Amino acid sequence: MVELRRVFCVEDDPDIRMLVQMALAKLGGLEVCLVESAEIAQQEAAAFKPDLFLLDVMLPGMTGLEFFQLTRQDPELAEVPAVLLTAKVSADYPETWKQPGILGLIEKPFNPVNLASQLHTLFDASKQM
Amino acid sequence: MAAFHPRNWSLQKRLSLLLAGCFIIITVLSAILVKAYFENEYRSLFLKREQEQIRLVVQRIEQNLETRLRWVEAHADRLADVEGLLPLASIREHLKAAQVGSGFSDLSVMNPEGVVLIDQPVFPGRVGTDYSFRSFISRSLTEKTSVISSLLIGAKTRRPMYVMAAPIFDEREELVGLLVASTDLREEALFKRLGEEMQDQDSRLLVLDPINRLYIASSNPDQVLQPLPEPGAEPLLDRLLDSTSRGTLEDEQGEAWIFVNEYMEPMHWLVVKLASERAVLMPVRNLISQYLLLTLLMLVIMGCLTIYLVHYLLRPVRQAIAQINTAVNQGGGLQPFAIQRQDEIGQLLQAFNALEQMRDRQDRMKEEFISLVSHELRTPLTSIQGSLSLLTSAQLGEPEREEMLSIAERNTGRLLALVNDLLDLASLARGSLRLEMRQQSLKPILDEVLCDFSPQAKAKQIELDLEMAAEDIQVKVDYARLQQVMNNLLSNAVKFSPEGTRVSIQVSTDKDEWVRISVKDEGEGIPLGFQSRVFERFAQADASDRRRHGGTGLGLSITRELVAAMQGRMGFSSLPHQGSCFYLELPRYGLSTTEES
Repeated sequence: MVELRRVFCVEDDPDIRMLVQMALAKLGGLEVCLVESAEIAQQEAAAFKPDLFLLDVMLPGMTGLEFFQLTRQDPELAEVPAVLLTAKVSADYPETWKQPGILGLIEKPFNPVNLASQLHTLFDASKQM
Repeated sequence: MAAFHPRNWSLQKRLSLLLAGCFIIITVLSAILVKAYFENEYRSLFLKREQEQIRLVVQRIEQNLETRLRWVEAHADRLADVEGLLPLASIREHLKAAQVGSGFSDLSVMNPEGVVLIDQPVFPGRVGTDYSFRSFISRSLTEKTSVISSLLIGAKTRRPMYVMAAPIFDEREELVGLLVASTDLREEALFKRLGEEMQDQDSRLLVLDPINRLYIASSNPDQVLQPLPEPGAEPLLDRLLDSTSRGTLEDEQGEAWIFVNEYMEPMHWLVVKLASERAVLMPVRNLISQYLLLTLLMLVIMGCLTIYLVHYLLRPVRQAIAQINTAVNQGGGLQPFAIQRQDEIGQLLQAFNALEQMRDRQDRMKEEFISLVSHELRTPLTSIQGSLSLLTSAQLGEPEREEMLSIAERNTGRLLALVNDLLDLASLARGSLRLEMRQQSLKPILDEVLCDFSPQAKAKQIELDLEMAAEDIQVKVDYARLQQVMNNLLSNAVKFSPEGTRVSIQVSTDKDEWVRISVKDEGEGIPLGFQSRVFERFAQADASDRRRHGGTGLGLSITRELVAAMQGRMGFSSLPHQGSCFYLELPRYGLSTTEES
């Protein structure tokens, strides 16, 4: 069974990036790559070979979901699942993220102490199916 | 009772009632006026016609009398010769022959003293009677002219008659006698004929003899030559006898009569034409009632048309009310009203549509604002909560603990700034912002703001500089608020400037007593399409801008209102790719007065 080791995270707020870094790398023992926009992620994601994307939905320029759609056409990234991070600002939002490859949605504010185990649970559940 | 006030009636009811009322009033008024006018005209026409007829009647009577008088005069001439009167025997022969077919009932010859010499037909006891007591006889004798008497009752015959007397002259023009011819009214055909001729007409003819109180002629054959009723028995007749030439009289039943009189001199007769006013005016009244009937019909048609028209005019309003009520009761959205007309109602509905659209836009903006605010609140909260939970529940080294604390502190500040912006916005919207306006020197304020921004600018290698036209420029402002304004403008300028460029603040003054503070950057400039909305609340050039550059979209909106609250004004100029320049102008304080004095 594939184990979750490498997480590629796109988040525009520097402080939240720091918290994710702390939660996943320091506490969760995962290898983490953090970038601030989807445009940068496009250039760097393939090289990192992630097991999972952690995507903020509201990003400047390209949104997290748009970035996820693009990765589906990239042979190297098409199989990489994603978990969304969102401040849940819109009522109709839950409908749009339910699509193959998106494992779940973590609402802000999230608890960084549990973040790694949350990702593990979602990732493992998807692999067992 | 309020429910019955016309104000509470439907417009349709009020308009319909108003129009119907107007129509009815106009119809009734016009009917009254037309009736009065026509009746008057018709009455005077009728009177004129009657007057002519009565004149004709009088003429006929007078002609008749004239002919007869000529006849008497002609025969008088034949009754004398050179010696005087003819012998009685030949006079008798003459009279006998003359009387046949003459129309005179009685002929007699008197001597110059007025004593009857001979009569035809013979009436016992008349010969030898002195008639000079009759005024017309004595007048004929003294004046030696022919004379017509008024109506009289024969002294011997007791008959109503009128008498003509013509003097008889001999060849020396000496008066030798008097030919007297009487006409028995009972045998006089003319009056009967006159009465009969007038029977078919709508007016009655009366020839009255007021002196002898007798009907001479009448449309009613039974009255002819009958005595007039006693005074008081028939008031209409009494009044007629007293009246002038024409007019209206009422009888005892209150019925009005129109009459025309003419007084006939020689006989002292009154010729009267009398008509019932009701009968005379009947055609006019029939006409008016037909007119009213027709108008009533038209009124009904007009009424129906009016009701339909009002109904048609107000249909969009009713539909709109129904649409609004449905929307309110069922809680659904309101569809725009269908506009089929360009009249006032169409315009009202159009205006309503526009209002509704504006409201929708505002609602959407408000929703967007709330969603934005909640997002903006959640982002620092996420950092605060995240860093605090890491601090409390995870094993962290000292540098990491410090990092977590600074994250918490920084985001608390962000949260506070956002809350302050929202509070400012709320008090500006309510108009309840309190300013402490004091005279200040401008330079210390600007220096302080520049100092605050220098770390940020340094991080992006942006050069900040300040140019002032004069060292000491005084303005009257709220210190903290002007600082807030400058913070906003500088923060935008630094935010939108690429690395390694320059942001400059220029302060200039002009003769118009304004101080202009401009903040100029060398960034991308404001897109042309967005320039008109720069100061709108929650507006940002690009939805993604708010994430790239932060901010709530409230900064410039708040800034402009703050400047306005300090009696200043604000504007900007910008060209794409050539940077933007935001400026504010404040009234100069103190300087202008010292210059003038």
